[in-house]
Amino acid sequence: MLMNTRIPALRKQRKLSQEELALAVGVTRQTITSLECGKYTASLVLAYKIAKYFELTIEDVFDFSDVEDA
Amino acid sequence: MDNYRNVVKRRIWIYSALVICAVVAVVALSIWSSVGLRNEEAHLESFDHGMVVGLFAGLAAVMVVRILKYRQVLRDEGKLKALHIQENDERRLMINSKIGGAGYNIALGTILMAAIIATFIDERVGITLIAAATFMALLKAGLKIYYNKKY
Repeated sequence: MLMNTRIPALRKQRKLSQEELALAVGVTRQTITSLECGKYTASLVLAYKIAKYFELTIEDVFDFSDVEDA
Repeated sequence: MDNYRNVVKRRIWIYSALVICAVVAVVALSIWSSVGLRNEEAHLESFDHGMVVGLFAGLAAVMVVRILKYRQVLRDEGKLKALHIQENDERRLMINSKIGGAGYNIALGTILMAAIIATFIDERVGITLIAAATFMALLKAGLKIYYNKKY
Protein backbone atom coordinates (compact mmCIF):
# COMPACT_ATOMS: atom_id res chain seq x y z
CA MET A 1 0.00 0.00 0.00
CA LEU A 2 1.34 3.42 -1.00
CA MET A 3 0.84 6.50 1.14
CA ASN A 4 1.14 10.24 1.03
CA THR A 5 3.78 12.00 3.06
CA ARG A 6 4.44 15.50 4.35
CA ILE A 7 8.12 15.23 3.45
CA PRO A 8 8.06 17.85 0.64
CA ALA A 9 6.34 20.40 2.93
CA LEU A 10 8.69 19.65 5.83
CA ARG A 11 11.70 19.97 3.57
CA LYS A 12 10.44 23.25 2.20
CA GLN A 13 9.88 24.54 5.74
CA ARG A 14 13.45 23.74 6.69
CA LYS A 15 14.92 24.74 3.29
CA LEU A 16 16.34 21.27 2.86
CA SER A 17 17.19 19.60 -0.44
CA GLN A 18 16.30 15.97 -1.21
CA GLU A 19 20.02 15.20 -1.36
CA GLU A 20 20.61 16.61 2.15
CA LEU A 21 17.69 14.68 3.64
CA ALA A 22 18.78 11.51 1.84
CA LEU A 23 22.31 11.82 3.22
CA ALA A 24 20.99 12.48 6.73
CA VAL A 25 18.79 9.37 6.80
CA GLY A 26 21.15 7.11 4.84
CA VAL A 27 19.29 6.53 1.58
CA THR A 28 19.70 7.74 -2.00
CA ARG A 29 18.05 10.85 -3.39
CA GLN A 30 15.93 8.62 -5.67
CA THR A 31 14.40 6.96 -2.62
CA ILE A 32 13.35 10.34 -1.20
CA THR A 33 11.91 11.28 -4.62
CA SER A 34 9.93 8.01 -4.75
CA LEU A 35 8.64 8.55 -1.20
CA GLU A 36 7.52 12.07 -2.04
CA CYS A 37 5.78 10.91 -5.23
CA GLY A 38 4.00 8.15 -3.30
CA LYS A 39 5.56 5.47 -5.53
CA TYR A 40 7.42 3.82 -2.67
CA THR A 41 6.46 3.12 0.94
CA ALA A 42 9.25 3.54 3.48
CA SER A 43 10.21 0.72 5.81
CA LEU A 44 9.51 1.20 9.51
CA VAL A 45 13.19 1.96 10.12
CA LEU A 46 13.35 4.61 7.40
CA ALA A 47 10.05 6.15 8.52
CA TYR A 48 11.44 6.34 12.06
CA LYS A 49 14.70 7.93 10.86
CA ILE A 50 12.86 10.56 8.78
CA ALA A 51 10.44 11.36 11.60
CA LYS A 52 13.30 11.60 14.08
CA TYR A 53 15.23 13.87 11.73
CA PHE A 54 12.28 16.29 11.57
CA GLU A 55 11.72 15.85 15.37
CA LEU A 56 8.18 14.63 14.73
CA THR A 57 6.29 11.37 15.15
CA ILE A 58 5.88 8.93 12.25
CA GLU A 59 2.17 9.78 12.04
CA ASP A 60 3.06 13.46 11.62
CA VAL A 61 5.21 12.72 8.59
CA PHE A 62 3.27 9.89 6.94
CA ASP A 63 -0.45 9.89 6.18
CA PHE A 64 -2.02 6.68 7.48
CA SER A 65 -5.64 7.58 6.65
CA ASP A 66 -5.82 4.99 3.84
CA VAL A 67 -4.51 2.30 6.21
CA GLU A 68 -7.13 3.18 8.80
CA ASP A 69 -9.91 3.11 6.18
CA ALA A 70 -8.88 -0.31 4.89
CA MET B 1 32.10 3.09 8.45
CA ASP B 2 35.34 1.29 9.44
CA ASN B 3 33.58 -2.04 8.94
CA TYR B 4 32.51 -1.00 5.47
CA ARG B 5 36.05 0.21 4.70
CA ASN B 6 37.28 -3.31 5.55
CA VAL B 7 34.59 -4.80 3.30
CA VAL B 8 35.78 -2.63 0.39
CA LYS B 9 39.42 -3.57 1.10
CA ARG B 10 38.45 -7.26 1.11
CA ARG B 11 36.65 -6.81 -2.23
CA ILE B 12 39.82 -5.27 -3.71
CA TRP B 13 41.80 -8.34 -2.61
CA ILE B 14 39.22 -10.75 -4.03
CA TYR B 15 38.96 -8.89 -7.35
CA SER B 16 42.77 -8.67 -7.58
CA ALA B 17 43.01 -12.45 -7.09
CA LEU B 18 40.36 -12.97 -9.78
CA VAL B 19 42.20 -10.67 -12.20
CA ILE B 20 45.42 -12.64 -11.61
CA CYS B 21 43.51 -15.91 -12.22
CA ALA B 22 42.01 -14.52 -15.45
CA VAL B 23 45.40 -13.30 -16.71
CA VAL B 24 47.01 -16.67 -15.87
CA ALA B 25 44.16 -18.43 -17.71
CA VAL B 26 44.57 -16.20 -20.79
CA VAL B 27 48.36 -16.74 -20.85
CA ALA B 28 47.98 -20.50 -20.29
CA LEU B 29 45.39 -20.77 -23.06
CA SER B 30 47.58 -18.79 -25.44
CA ILE B 31 50.58 -21.01 -24.73
CA TRP B 32 48.44 -24.14 -25.01
CA SER B 33 47.00 -22.97 -28.29
CA SER B 34 50.34 -21.90 -29.80
CA VAL B 35 52.12 -25.11 -28.79
CA GLY B 36 49.34 -26.98 -30.59
CA LEU B 37 48.46 -29.58 -28.00
CA ARG B 38 44.89 -29.74 -29.27
CA ASN B 39 43.94 -31.84 -32.21
CA GLU B 40 40.73 -30.18 -33.44
CA GLU B 41 40.47 -28.38 -36.75
CA ALA B 42 42.30 -25.07 -36.84
CA HIS B 43 39.07 -23.09 -37.30
CA LEU B 44 37.43 -24.58 -34.21
CA GLU B 45 40.54 -24.18 -32.14
CA SER B 46 40.86 -20.55 -33.11
CA PHE B 47 37.18 -19.90 -32.39
CA ASP B 48 37.25 -21.67 -29.01
CA HIS B 49 40.42 -19.93 -28.03
CA GLY B 50 39.12 -16.51 -29.04
CA MET B 51 35.82 -16.96 -27.21
CA VAL B 52 37.32 -18.19 -23.94
CA VAL B 53 40.11 -15.60 -23.99
CA GLY B 54 37.49 -12.93 -24.72
CA LEU B 55 35.37 -14.06 -21.76
CA PHE B 56 38.33 -14.06 -19.38
CA ALA B 57 39.59 -10.72 -20.71
CA GLY B 58 36.10 -9.23 -20.32
CA LEU B 59 35.79 -10.50 -16.74
CA ALA B 60 39.28 -9.19 -15.93
CA ALA B 61 38.41 -5.78 -17.41
CA VAL B 62 35.27 -5.56 -15.25
CA MET B 63 37.30 -6.47 -12.15
CA VAL B 64 40.01 -3.90 -12.96
CA VAL B 65 37.39 -1.15 -13.35
CA ARG B 66 35.89 -2.13 -9.98
CA ILE B 67 39.30 -2.23 -8.28
CA LEU B 68 40.08 1.28 -9.55
CA LYS B 69 36.68 2.52 -8.37
CA TYR B 70 37.13 1.00 -4.89
CA ARG B 71 40.70 2.35 -4.57
CA GLN B 72 39.39 5.82 -5.36
CA VAL B 73 36.56 5.40 -2.84
CA LEU B 74 38.98 4.35 -0.08
CA ARG B 75 40.88 7.65 -0.46
CA ASP B 76 37.77 9.81 0.01
CA GLU B 77 35.56 9.48 3.12
CA GLY B 78 32.65 11.24 1.37
CA LYS B 79 32.74 8.85 -1.58
CA LEU B 80 32.97 5.89 0.82
CA LYS B 81 29.84 7.06 2.64
CA ALA B 82 28.05 7.68 -0.68
CA LEU B 83 28.92 4.16 -1.87
CA HIS B 84 27.76 2.70 1.46
CA ILE B 85 24.45 4.55 1.17
CA GLN B 86 24.04 3.51 -2.47
CA GLU B 87 24.71 -0.17 -1.72
CA ASN B 88 22.48 -0.26 1.36
CA ASP B 89 19.64 1.92 0.10
CA GLU B 90 16.43 0.08 1.05
CA ARG B 91 14.61 0.88 -2.22
CA ARG B 92 17.56 -0.41 -4.25
CA LEU B 93 17.73 -3.56 -2.10
CA MET B 94 14.01 -4.12 -2.60
CA ILE B 95 14.35 -3.75 -6.38
CA ASN B 96 17.32 -6.14 -6.39
CA SER B 97 15.38 -8.71 -4.38
CA LYS B 98 12.45 -8.41 -6.82
CA ILE B 99 14.81 -9.05 -9.74
CA GLY B 100 16.19 -12.17 -8.08
CA GLY B 101 18.94 -10.83 -5.87
CA ALA B 102 22.12 -12.77 -5.28
CA GLY B 103 20.62 -16.00 -6.61
CA TYR B 104 20.23 -14.51 -10.08
CA ASN B 105 23.86 -13.26 -10.10
CA ILE B 106 25.16 -16.64 -8.92
CA ALA B 107 23.15 -18.39 -11.67
CA LEU B 108 24.54 -15.94 -14.25
CA GLY B 109 28.13 -16.47 -13.06
CA THR B 110 27.69 -20.25 -13.02
CA ILE B 111 26.32 -20.26 -16.58
CA LEU B 112 29.30 -18.18 -17.75
CA MET B 113 31.74 -20.58 -16.06
CA ALA B 114 29.86 -23.53 -17.57
CA ALA B 115 30.07 -21.81 -20.98
CA ILE B 116 33.86 -21.54 -20.67
CA ILE B 117 34.19 -25.22 -19.73
CA ALA B 118 31.63 -26.38 -22.30
CA THR B 119 33.44 -24.53 -25.11
CA PHE B 120 36.31 -27.02 -24.81
CA ILE B 121 33.95 -29.96 -25.20
CA ASP B 122 31.48 -28.64 -27.77
CA GLU B 123 31.49 -25.07 -29.03
CA ARG B 124 27.75 -25.17 -29.79
CA VAL B 125 27.00 -25.86 -26.12
CA GLY B 126 29.32 -22.98 -25.17
CA ILE B 127 27.59 -20.59 -27.58
CA THR B 128 24.16 -21.68 -26.32
CA LEU B 129 25.19 -21.06 -22.71
CA ILE B 130 26.64 -17.65 -23.60
CA ALA B 131 23.39 -16.80 -25.39
CA ALA B 132 21.45 -17.87 -22.27
CA ALA B 133 23.71 -15.75 -20.06
CA THR B 134 23.32 -12.77 -22.40
CA PHE B 135 19.53 -13.15 -22.30
CA MET B 136 19.60 -13.34 -18.48
CA ALA B 137 21.79 -10.23 -18.27
CA LEU B 138 19.49 -8.31 -20.66
CA LEU B 139 16.42 -9.47 -18.74
CA LYS B 140 17.98 -8.27 -15.49
CA ALA B 141 18.78 -4.88 -17.03
CA GLY B 142 15.24 -4.60 -18.39
CA LEU B 143 13.66 -5.51 -15.05
CA LYS B 144 15.94 -3.04 -13.27
CA ILE B 145 14.78 -0.22 -15.54
CA TYR B 146 11.13 -1.28 -15.11
CA TYR B 147 11.25 -1.45 -11.30
CA ASN B 148 13.26 1.78 -11.06
CA LYS B 149 10.44 3.52 -12.92
CA LYS B 150 7.73 1.73 -10.93
CA TYR B 151 9.13 2.51 -7.47
